[in-house]
Amino acid sequence: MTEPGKSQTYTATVLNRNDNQPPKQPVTVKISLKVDPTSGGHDHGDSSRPRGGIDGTKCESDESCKTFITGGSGSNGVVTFTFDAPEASGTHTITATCDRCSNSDSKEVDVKVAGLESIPASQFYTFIGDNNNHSANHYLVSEAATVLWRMAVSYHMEAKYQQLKTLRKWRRSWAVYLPPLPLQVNDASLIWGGRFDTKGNWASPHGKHRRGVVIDVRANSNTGAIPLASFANFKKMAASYDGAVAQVHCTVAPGREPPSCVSTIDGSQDSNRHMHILLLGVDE
Amino acid sequence: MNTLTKFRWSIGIVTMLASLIVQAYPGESIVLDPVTGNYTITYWDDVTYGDTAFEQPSLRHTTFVPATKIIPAIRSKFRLNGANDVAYSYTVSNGASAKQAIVGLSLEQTARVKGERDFPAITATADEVEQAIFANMSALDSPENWGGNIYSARQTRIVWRPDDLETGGVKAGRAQAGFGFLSPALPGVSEARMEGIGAVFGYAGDGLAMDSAIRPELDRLTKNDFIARPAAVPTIAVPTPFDPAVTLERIQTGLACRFLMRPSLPSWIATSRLRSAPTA
Repeated sequence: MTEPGKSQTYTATVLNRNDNQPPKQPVTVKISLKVDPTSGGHDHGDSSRPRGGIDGTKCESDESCKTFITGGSGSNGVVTFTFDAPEASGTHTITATCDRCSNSDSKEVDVKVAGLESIPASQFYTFIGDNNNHSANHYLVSEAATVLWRMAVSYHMEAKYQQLKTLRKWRRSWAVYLPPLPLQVNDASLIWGGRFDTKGNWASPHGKHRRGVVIDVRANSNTGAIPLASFANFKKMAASYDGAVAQVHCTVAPGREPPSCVSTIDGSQDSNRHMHILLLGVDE
Repeated sequence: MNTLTKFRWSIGIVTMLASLIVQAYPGESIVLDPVTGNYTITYWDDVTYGDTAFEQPSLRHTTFVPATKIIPAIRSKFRLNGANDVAYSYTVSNGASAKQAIVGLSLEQTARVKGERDFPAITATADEVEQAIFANMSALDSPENWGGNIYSARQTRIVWRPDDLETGGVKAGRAQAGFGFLSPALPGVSEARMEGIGAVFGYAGDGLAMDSAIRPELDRLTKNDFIARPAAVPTIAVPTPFDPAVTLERIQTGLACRFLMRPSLPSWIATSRLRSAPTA
């Protein structure tokens, strides 16, 4: 396994089948790199998907990407190279072939962030945002999922407690209690983490959402979103969980700044406004 | 001629550490306005989220309004309540020249409060969740128009907030009593964190890049957006049946942990506590 965007060193060894010794003459070894287009949670997979690189050379096709020479006097027949993983997670296959070899050999490598799990279902939040590009967009590390759940419970129960307190204060037990709707949780991380290219083009990612520690919660004018009036309370509630941070993100045209993301007149009541929550206090 | 008829593929893995590159994105800055006390953050949008009309990377601005424009003080009291509990109570005041009302009081690293329930598991039913959370909220005494709750993740903290953040809170020159609870645990010194209203912090787009050079400083600002004061909070659980040796050991352990975790406590507290630290 290799982490997205990281490099790992691999070796390919050429040996004579008869005597198990390295070749006495120089031999050309070719390394190629393939990627399963739809792996790693990228349902939109296509042939333009980045494969990563070999020893600093970007591999643009499934053909041989990098060539090495081994064998000859004093050689142990070993070729050492790095696999440079791309930012997007997925299953890659490194294949080595050599001149006059009777076989080739391959190694499958998962590029992934370890430890991500599907967010457990709950009555206190609903899942949104899955689409044809990424149908599995709700993965977090276990600790972050626990914090999300606790936040959702606190948001719901504190609102309910507050409403009941108000009803008691005004002795209006006949009033209809309106429970807050479940939080609408949007993108967390993909099943193996890594770059979350929201538009399915390998290039326009969420900047973060890579390691299962942040999640977006809808906070626009849609029904069920966190309402504007609750932003400050939500932010402070979130911070009560070991320094978790809730930021408001929105789309504001350049030139209409500084944006507040909470104004109805600066264009921030847009469909993209959401709470970007750093569940464990880190934004990655 | 040596004929190569065998090709063996072996894998030896050596993890290479990715270097931490701090990008100096030109034009990024955090600037304090000495008049307002607010910070203007200028940053390159990491990713333009949403509408394709704004796809081009652009230099953005946002304003961070600290929640520290308060002049807080807290007075802690504790007394024996019955045979087994300690009644803790707090009065919070805000200096006359404070620019914000105090809208948050948080007691850090507390031992168990009487009536406190464990945070329910994710498999709990709605009724079980409600009973547990309401029990925790009800275990805290709150002033009129304030509410409290107990939050637990890696550590436990007790937090009070006014019902209405915009209009409530402890205003400049005022004091507010009525925060409290019962606990079987003995008091120790911990932090009481207080904060003003601040402002909801927003980013156009996705915010700063992960490798932006100004991120550490901005993180420092946003994660320390409170003012801490020492307060007496329940920290030392008393064993049942009572065992003086165990109690002293817990006090000793509690003090050691406290000083490891709270190096920023005022020096006079550290000195006095160390002098009085018993040996079990």
